[in-house]
Amino acid sequence: MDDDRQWFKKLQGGDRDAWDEAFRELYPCAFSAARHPLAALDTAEAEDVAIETLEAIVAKVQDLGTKNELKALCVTMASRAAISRHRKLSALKRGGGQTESLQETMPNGEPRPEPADPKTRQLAGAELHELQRVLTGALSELDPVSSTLIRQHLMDGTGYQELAEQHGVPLGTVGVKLSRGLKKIREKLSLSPLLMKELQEYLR
Amino acid sequence: MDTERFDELAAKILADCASTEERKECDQALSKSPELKKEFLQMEETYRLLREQSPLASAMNTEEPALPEYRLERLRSAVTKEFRGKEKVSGPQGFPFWRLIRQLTASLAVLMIVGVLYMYSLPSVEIGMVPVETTRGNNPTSPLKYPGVATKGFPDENGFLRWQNHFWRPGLHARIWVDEGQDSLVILRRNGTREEHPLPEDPTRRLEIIKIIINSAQTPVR
Repeated sequence: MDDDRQWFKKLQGGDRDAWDEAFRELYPCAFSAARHPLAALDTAEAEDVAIETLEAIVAKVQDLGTKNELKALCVTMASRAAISRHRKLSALKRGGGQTESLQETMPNGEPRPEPADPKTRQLAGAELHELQRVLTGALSELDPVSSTLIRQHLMDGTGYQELAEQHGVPLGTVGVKLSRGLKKIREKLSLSPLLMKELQEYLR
Repeated sequence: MDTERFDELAAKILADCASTEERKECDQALSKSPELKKEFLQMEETYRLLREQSPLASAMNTEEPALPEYRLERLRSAVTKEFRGKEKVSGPQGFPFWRLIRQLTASLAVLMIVGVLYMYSLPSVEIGMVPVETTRGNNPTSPLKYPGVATKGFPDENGFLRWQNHFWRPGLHARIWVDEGQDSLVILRRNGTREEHPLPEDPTRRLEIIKIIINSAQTPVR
C-alpha cells in the first residue's frame, strides 16, 4: 500500500521511470476499454484511442490519489473517447459530414434534454472492481453456455444472431439464457446495495 | 404469457432485434401484468448497466495487449511537456527551503557578475591629487583631461597615502601621481611594481611624457 502511494507520488512528481511503468500497466486497460462493444472500433483505431487517453491522463494525475482511481479514469476516458469517435464516424457515414441542429430533429422544436454531466457519470475504481467481482460471481453460478453467452453479448458485443450460430442453438434459446443470466446478475447486484445505488445513479 | 416466452421476447427487445409483432406481443403482456412490467424494467436497467459498464469493469484487470514500444516515446514527450518546469526539488528540509536557497544563490551570482562587469567598465588608471602644491590644479596640462583615467582628490597627505595601498578593484591596472619633490611621475602597478619617470621642465614636453606614461599604464603588466 505504501509502495503504491510512493509510486503514485513519483507519478505526480513527473518521474520518468514511474510513468513508463504506469503506461505499460494502463495501456492494456485503455486498449480494452477502447474496444468497448458500443464503440466497435477496429484494433488500430482502439490503439490510437488508448494512446491518446494515456497522453491525456498525464495531466489528470494531480487530481487523483490512487492507482485504482487512475485505472478507473483511464478506462472511462478511453471508452468515452472510443464511443465518441464511433459516433462521429457513423455520423460522417450517414450524413457525409453534414450536421443539423439537434433542436430541428425534435418534434415541435422541443428542447432536447442535455446529456448528463460526465463527472457524475463516472464510476470510481472501487466500484468497477466491485462490479467485476459481482459479475464474476454471478457468471460462475450460471451454466457454462449461459455464462459464455452473457459474456460474449454484453462484454464483447457479439450479436444475437451470431451467438445462436456460434453455439448452435435457436434464437429463442439465446434469449431465454440471456434473460435468466440478467436476472441472476440482478439478484447478485441487489446484495450489494451501495454498488446498486451507484449504478442506478449512473443511469440517471 | 409463460415465463419462457417472456424471457425470449424480453431479451430480443433489449438486444434490439425483435420484430414489430414480437414487440406488440410483449407490450400487451406488460400492460396486463404490473409484475411482468416491473420485471422487464429491472431487466432493461441491468442490461443497460452491464452493456455500458461491464466492459469497463473487465478492462480494469486486463493485462493484454502490451504497450507497443514505438508508442512509448510519444507518451514520454507528454510527460516531459506536462512536468517541464514543475519538477520538485527534494531536500532534507523540504521543497520551499531549497528553492529559496537556489534563488538566493542565483541572485547573488547575478549581482556579482554585474558588479565585476561594472568594475571593469571603470577607468583602468587612477591619478591621485593632493593639494595644489603637489599637483597641476586646473592647469590645461592636467591629466584630468585624459579619457580612461579617474582622478582622485585628497584633502591631505594621509588620505593620499591610504589610497596608494587601497584595495585594487578588478580592472584597475595602475595608480599614478606626481611627486613634485622629485619632479617625477610615479606609477604603482597592480602587480606591485613601482616606476618613477622624471618630468622635464618644458610644459609641452612634460605633457607629452605624461600622455605616453598614462597610455602605457592603461595596459596591464603581467
